[in-house]
Amino acid sequence: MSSEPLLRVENLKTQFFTESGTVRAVDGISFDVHEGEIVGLVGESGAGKSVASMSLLRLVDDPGEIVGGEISYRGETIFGLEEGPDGELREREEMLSESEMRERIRGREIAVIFQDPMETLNPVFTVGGQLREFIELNRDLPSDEAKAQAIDMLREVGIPDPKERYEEYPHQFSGGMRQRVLIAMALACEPNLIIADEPTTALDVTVEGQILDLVDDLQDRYDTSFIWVTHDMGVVAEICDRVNVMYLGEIVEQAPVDELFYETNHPYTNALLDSMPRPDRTVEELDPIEGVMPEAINPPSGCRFHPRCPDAREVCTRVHPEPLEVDRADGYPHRAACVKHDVFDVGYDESVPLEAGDEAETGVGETGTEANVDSDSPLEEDQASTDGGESER
Amino acid sequence: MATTESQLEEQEPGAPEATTDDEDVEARVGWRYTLAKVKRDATARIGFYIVAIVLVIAAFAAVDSNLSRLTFGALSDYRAAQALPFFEHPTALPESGEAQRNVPPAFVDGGTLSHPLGTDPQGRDYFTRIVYGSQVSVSVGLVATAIGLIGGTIVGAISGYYGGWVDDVLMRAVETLYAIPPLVLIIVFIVFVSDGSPDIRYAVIGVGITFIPVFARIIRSRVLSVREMDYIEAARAAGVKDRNIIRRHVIPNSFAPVLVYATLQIGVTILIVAGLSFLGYGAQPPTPDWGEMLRIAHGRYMHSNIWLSIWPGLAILVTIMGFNLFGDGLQDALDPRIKN
Amino acid sequence: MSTPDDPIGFGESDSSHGETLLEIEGLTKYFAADSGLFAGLNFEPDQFPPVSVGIDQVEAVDDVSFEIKKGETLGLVGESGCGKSTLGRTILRLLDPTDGTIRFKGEDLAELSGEQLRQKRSEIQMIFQDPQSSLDPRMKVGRIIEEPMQAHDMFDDEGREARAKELLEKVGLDPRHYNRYPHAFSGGQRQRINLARALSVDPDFVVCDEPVSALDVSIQAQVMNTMEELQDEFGLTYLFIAHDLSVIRHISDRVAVMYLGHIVELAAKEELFENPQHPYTKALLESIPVPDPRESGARGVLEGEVPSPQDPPSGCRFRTRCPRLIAPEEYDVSDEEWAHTRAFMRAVKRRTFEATSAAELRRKFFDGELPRGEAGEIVDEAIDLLATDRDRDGEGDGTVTEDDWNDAAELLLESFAERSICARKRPAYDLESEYGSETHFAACHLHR
Repeated sequence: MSSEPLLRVENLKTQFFTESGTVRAVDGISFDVHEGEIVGLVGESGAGKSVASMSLLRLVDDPGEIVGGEISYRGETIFGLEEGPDGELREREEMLSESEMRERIRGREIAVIFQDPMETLNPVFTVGGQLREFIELNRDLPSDEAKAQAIDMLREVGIPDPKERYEEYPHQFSGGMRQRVLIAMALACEPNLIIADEPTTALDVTVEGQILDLVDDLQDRYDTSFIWVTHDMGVVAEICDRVNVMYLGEIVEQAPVDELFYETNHPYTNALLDSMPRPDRTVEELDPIEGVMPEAINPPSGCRFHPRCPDAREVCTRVHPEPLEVDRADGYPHRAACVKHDVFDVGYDESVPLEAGDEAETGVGETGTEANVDSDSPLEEDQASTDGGESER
Repeated sequence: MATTESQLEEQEPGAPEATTDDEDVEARVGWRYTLAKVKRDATARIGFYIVAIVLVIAAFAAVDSNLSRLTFGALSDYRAAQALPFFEHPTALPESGEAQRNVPPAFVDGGTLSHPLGTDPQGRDYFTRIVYGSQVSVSVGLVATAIGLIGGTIVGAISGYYGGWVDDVLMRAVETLYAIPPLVLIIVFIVFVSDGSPDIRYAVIGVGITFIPVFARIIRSRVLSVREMDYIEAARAAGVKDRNIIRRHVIPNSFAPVLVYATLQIGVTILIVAGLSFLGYGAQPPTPDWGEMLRIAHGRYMHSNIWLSIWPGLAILVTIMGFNLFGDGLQDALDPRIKN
Repeated sequence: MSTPDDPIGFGESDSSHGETLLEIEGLTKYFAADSGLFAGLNFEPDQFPPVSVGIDQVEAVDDVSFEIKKGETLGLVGESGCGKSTLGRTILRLLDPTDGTIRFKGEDLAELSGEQLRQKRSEIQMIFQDPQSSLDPRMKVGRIIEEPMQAHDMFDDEGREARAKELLEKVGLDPRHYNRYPHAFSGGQRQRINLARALSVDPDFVVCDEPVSALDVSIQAQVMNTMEELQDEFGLTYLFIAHDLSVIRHISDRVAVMYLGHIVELAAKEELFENPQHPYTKALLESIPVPDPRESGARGVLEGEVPSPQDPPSGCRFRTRCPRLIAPEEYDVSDEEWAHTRAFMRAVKRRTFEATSAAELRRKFFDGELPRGEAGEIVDEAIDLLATDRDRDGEGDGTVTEDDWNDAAELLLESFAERSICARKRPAYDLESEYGSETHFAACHLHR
């Protein structure tokens, strides 16, 4: 494969410093994005996938902060730390400044499509006006040229009658159409990389289908790379070339899409696939993953998935696995962070299997948040509100 | 009156309509939490303490004037032996003819420690009058706000929950009330009901009525959003009676913003009633009301004894500031978006 | 926790499976498009008097009929805005039906009102979509579960508490959580509390409005499994409303597909998924992303958007987007010619292209060859309106105006779309099933 990746992320760590403790939302993830590919970032809500994707643009809001790792884009350092003279960590000199990020990277090189277009578009300005302004700003075009460009872009993303609709306001657009506008906006500066954060989650299936087709089509034409953040394995299978599966701030499996589905190497990915009802065949018995994802504020020891893992053994409670290469396919590594693979060699085979219920705790199922609500004090709200379980709609 | 007042005090920090026993418990848990949050906020804490102190002083003056005499009487020759039920005009004037009139405050030349804030032109101890004034002002603030709050909550909740023509009729009525300048409305009301002898009672009721529209509108707008919540629909689907839904779900969940507004409004009420007293439509002499005291001080003694104006003015300022700070803090505490 | 000797009457319901529990006929729900004091008045400046009376109606549910048998799960699937939630709420009489009957155990719920209706509510319950807003944040979980029982005067305080705790356990929560507030629970747990509340009055029928769509997949599976267990245990009948076909496929016995207020297809699950007979169902099934990278490929994406329910298409409501719209009988056109005409018609209506020369338009939409006969003449006329190089009398600047577009669209729609049987008659056909023996209802004239 091509030697130099477009984007390289190494050991990225993003943490949120809250009153109740440090939330390690992203805890040491590494992945690459090559030119022209769609890389999936998949996981349940609370897995840290959105934070990870926003960290790539250094758009993490207070009290969050990127605390470690390296992000480089085409040889430029978006984020990087080095050790200072006193041993403390400081930002590296070649790291892009905030204004450079704003002027050169965000929007122009790396664009974002959000889940909720209604929040991205300002309701009091026309759709066309917003698109034109965006193009004007980012491509230094005069107003009339930007307008022509904007109309072209609207047509490009399949908005019928773009001249007429240019003058309309966001609320006059349907959800799918608004999402198309956002895609037009993202594409307007012909970026090399688009981060799509659950862009189809709020849409109906038929509309989602239209958008996926559109993205496929546009990607062929512009050869843009995508980082596709989603919780939907269906969308992943449909659109991604390579996939990173996230669990509790970590990447647990990383593989080309076909490999991920057919040579699944991490029990979490496996369990996720098993717990899904399928549209294409009737599944009589669903096999849910026990419990809920614990909170990133106080992750389990060892492998973070071990309290819910059907394959967990005693060693899993002690050893924290980093994703290691367990296979290779299409020239890409297949990494999995599970000690049951031989490359880890920590004595998994000899270790005692954990009894179900041993670690899964009180057994009623969703134990994750229960640990936090042991007292009846309503002051627990801070923690409870960050619990897992809800999707991000 | 003392009981009413202490009830009001109790309810004021956030009990959403305590009804049955167990509901009361729930509500308490809810506002114990809120209070805990309030405590964390410095501004709110200052406000809370000011309000608490004013309330305590007012309660003292209300509960037992003998007690207050014991507390303050040592400093004063003012006899307030008779109980001082609220809305009764205190007639107490110094018994002996040798009362010291227009004594300046203690820290000024000619002042005496037995009259820390001096005396008024009738020779009454000004400190005692200010203390008693707190009773009038605070009661006025609480009662008028309560009238507005209760009236507004009923109108707003019914209007918002049922919608349709009920909403139309009630809201148009409320808007009509809203359209009249409040001071005009209050004065016309007082003149109309008082039969030529204005009394602070009428002022309080009048002010309370003018508050109904605002409260009704706030409650209604909240109810409109609460009504859309699934738990309201769930209760309906479960067959819970409408009045129970309003009582158990709609009002408690619509109450937070009104409560904040009410707290802020107490200060405004005190100000309005003081203003009314100042104009002669509120408390009548010799009731020790801050506004009325200001009127007298301002009218006749502005130049001869500036302290007579300063003390009630200061009292009003501090009290209102206390309620406002507390209200602001409460608002932050109740706003789910502001965490920590 | 103390479990009383089941004073509560859990356990099987009396009537046996298989008989009809709920029968809906001609159920219709229209909403007024606006409300308020002057809602019925419309201001129309171009006529005299400039005010007209009449309320615009949104036809959310229009003449829907089906039945649900005891103990089964009927899945109701459709995209947002199709009226599925309105249908569910109308059945529950949370909304008043505009027309039609809701026969529940032989009694017409549409006729009931006031206290009678309120008492009936203990037999029909609902589970809501949003785990956040479906539980009163100021009420403890125990009280939330007890409230329906209290409303129906079931048991005394202790009995209610005992039952609430028992239900908490049944739905997979710890009975000790009785005194907690909803915010202390995760989304999946809240849906379980929802379940417990619905079951507290021992209903026969539960309308589940997207109960798992706000949950993560792994939690979805847990909650669905619990729902299935409880269904067996309590002999419940579900109307399961969802937009997610995978969920519907997993949990339903029979499935109804809804589009813009109409039920377009209703059949046993296997039959519906394996042998869909309505073009909309087919399109839906084709557009779901399948979690299998080797399956992608053929995807029949639907064109356009759902029309407004305020002014829905006549006849079959799907006809404006239907890839199988039937050609009007009066034109003698081949399938291919009709496909071209249809595509052209829709492109003109949606204005998905720019006006060019007549020859270019012919080539682009008809491979240069117009349909035969009358149809061809009409198409030719429309192309003429949109061509930049047409021969205009008087003004020859070649610009295509707004009016030209409208005229062309109107001409095509009136000549073709409106004359199709799909526009003239509402379809309703009962077909033989390929899988299983139940009737397969499909509202599509292809089966005429």
